[in-house]
Amino acid sequence: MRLFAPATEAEAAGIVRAHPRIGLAIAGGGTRMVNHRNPALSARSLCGVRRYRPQDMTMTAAAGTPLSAIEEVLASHGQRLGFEPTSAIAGRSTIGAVAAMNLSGPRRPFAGSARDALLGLRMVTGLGERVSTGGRVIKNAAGLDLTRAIAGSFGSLAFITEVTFRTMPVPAAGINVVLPGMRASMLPAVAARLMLKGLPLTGAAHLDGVGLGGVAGAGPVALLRFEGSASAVAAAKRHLDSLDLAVAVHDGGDPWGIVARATVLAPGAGQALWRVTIPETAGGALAEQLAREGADVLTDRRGGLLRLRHGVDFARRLAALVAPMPGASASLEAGPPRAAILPDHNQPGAAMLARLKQALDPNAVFVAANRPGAAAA
Amino acid sequence: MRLLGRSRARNRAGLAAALARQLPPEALALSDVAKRAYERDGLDVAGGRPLAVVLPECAGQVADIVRECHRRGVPVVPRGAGTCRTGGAMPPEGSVVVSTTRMRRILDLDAVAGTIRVEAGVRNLAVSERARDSGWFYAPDPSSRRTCTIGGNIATNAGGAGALRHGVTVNHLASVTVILPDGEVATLGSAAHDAAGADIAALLCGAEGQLGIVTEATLRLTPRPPATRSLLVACESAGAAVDTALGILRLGIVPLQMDIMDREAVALCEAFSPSGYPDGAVLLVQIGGIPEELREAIERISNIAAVSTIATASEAEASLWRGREAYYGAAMRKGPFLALDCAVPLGDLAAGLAGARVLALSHGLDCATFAHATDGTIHAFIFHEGGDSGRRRGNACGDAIRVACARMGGTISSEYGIGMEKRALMTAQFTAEELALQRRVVDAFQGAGDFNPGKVLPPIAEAAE
Repeated sequence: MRLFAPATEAEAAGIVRAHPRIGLAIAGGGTRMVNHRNPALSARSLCGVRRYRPQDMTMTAAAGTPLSAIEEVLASHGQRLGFEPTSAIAGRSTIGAVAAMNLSGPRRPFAGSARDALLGLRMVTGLGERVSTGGRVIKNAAGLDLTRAIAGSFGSLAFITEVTFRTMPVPAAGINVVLPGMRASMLPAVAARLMLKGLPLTGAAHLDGVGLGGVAGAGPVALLRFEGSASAVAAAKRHLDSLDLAVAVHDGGDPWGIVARATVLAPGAGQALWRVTIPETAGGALAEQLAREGADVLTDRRGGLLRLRHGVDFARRLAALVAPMPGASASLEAGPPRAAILPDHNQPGAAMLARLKQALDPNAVFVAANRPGAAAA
Repeated sequence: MRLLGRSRARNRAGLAAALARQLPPEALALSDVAKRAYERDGLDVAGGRPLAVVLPECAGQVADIVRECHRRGVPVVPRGAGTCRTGGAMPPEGSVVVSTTRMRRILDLDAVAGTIRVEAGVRNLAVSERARDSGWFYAPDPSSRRTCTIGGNIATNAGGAGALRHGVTVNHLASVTVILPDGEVATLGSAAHDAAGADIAALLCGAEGQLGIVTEATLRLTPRPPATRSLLVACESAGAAVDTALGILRLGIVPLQMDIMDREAVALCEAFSPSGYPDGAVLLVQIGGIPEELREAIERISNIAAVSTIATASEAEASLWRGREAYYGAAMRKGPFLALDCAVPLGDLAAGLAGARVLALSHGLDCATFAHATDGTIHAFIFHEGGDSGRRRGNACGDAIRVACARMGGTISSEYGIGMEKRALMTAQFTAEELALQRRVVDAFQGAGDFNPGKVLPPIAEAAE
């Protein structure tokens, strides 16, 4: 497979213009590349933080900058990415790929998504134009903003060369607590109650039958995280203690990477791992039903994201369960191709996406890159 | 393709009759008085006389109207409460104004998920009022929140003073139902976080009604903080107020609101609605959370700033903000003015404020400036002598300040949008290629339809210069 790795945006535009009829597959750091017949266009040589003053609470970086480098620079100034892209492959994923795939972590329902943090980007269109969209300030009402439509489009609309995103202060304190015995269906309501008390909840997950590095045992267990000022985190702990729920502090390292990457659900022979995105209020109940049907289930985002491991043949049953649920969708994250759940091509917005493609890449130079989960395969 | 001459006139003549057949009488305003009332919005400059003003009460009626206009080649101008300050809802001669103000049902509230489904004409503040008992509120709250509509908020991607902490409209939009320019109905997004694929609903945010009319939206709510406190810090100058504000952010404290008023703004507001502000510039800060964390935050802020007032009771807080919130009325009493909404990166806010003052002085005009120290917005009020020549001088000064902000890496508009008023300035922020791309996207969505023409994008000849 041929791979182009331009060192400048101008060079990238030249490559696009020189290949008007050959589909280019866009790649970031190459961590999630599947074997593609098309030549690849990689951002990995577009590298470096372009503009960062901590007081702006924004950062502009070239698309190929490794996420780890960005996190390191931010941490040295007491800041971080609010959306917690822990599902990215540590050290090698690029910030451009995080944007293109809209990769967010367990903090997503509390602090917003990667898309929410993105303020603007520079890109090369399918016509080889070098353009920016959005802006570099926190609030911008000028012009049509294509940023969020391109973020999450998996490289099917444009080649992102630079991104500007919001940064947030690292909280002074944090605590992870485990609530043994809680049912998954209770998670959305329990999390909502804690949020509405003003407690700084930034993670709400539930595990059933999969344990968590030996801490949680095999039964159902909720995992919560609070991050904020020292007094707010202490208040959260006091509140949980007062509920008499046998709360235990989890201090065995950071469990949220395990949650985000679902490493405890690595499928064995004859098994597959799927993900379901679903409105939070329905997610907890579906998690319980899946567990009853023999799946190992990890619920995250206070019910909004389920990962489940089951035999490969469960694909059809899962598709049937999810299909009638408003707003829910399921996809294969790891496992053999026959476990795939075909996307619904009649999904709302498909016609409008086609209109956007017509404006950004009318000759279809860019071919859609791989979807999430293909990486783990 | 545009219809020409006589056939277009015939199509237009038949439109009123066709609409009258399809709509109940109360949904159609054809009198001259009614049409005149919809010629202008908050910019207060008259547009053209619309052919008709329609006030549908459901999405089905909106779709019927849009299809009828599409078939006859008549431009459609979507309109919320008409609070827009840029002429974004100003109709061209011979268009049809579609006002959503009769579509104001709140359809349902999910108190566990923190989502609410509303029709487009629901007022911004009504969303928070409906959610109050369940502990949630709707975070993007522009200063027009008492009157402006959710549909209008989506069209301008409205944000309030709390944008740093909570984001703007686009960050709270789970899904929308939209009538596209050809009358097609589309529902985009879902109540699930990050459903697969591109976020097309987000594209409608800030498109100023060029891509369709939103009829319904599901919004994400934010937990209402159990307690709030407001602080006033008296400062030597606006620049010193910026330094203090950035110091508070460096402590890791992200306030709900943090506003700066320069000396002139303080004097202006005190003369209109006395709030006990000291002479000089002031920094107003509102923080939210549980009482013990607010105590901790106030202690830490007091270590770096001379806090002169701490308001804990809600009445005391309201009175501390009263002067700041009266700024528009205060400016109106002083005389004719132009209000700006440009922004610079937070770290450049002191330079942006100083630059705005210098530019006003160099145009021989007075200015009073408010700024959101949470998002870099500069609300400079430029006072002029009124009349055409005054307006011209004010606009020249305002344009110079907006362009200066864009050159500092900021934006010509952070809140009000572009509308008619700032189209020509778009070239200061975007290249000809960028504007051409925006035009292609609008064209791809409009097809043969004509939605809110003459807004946002500069005329093609100008953009090419």
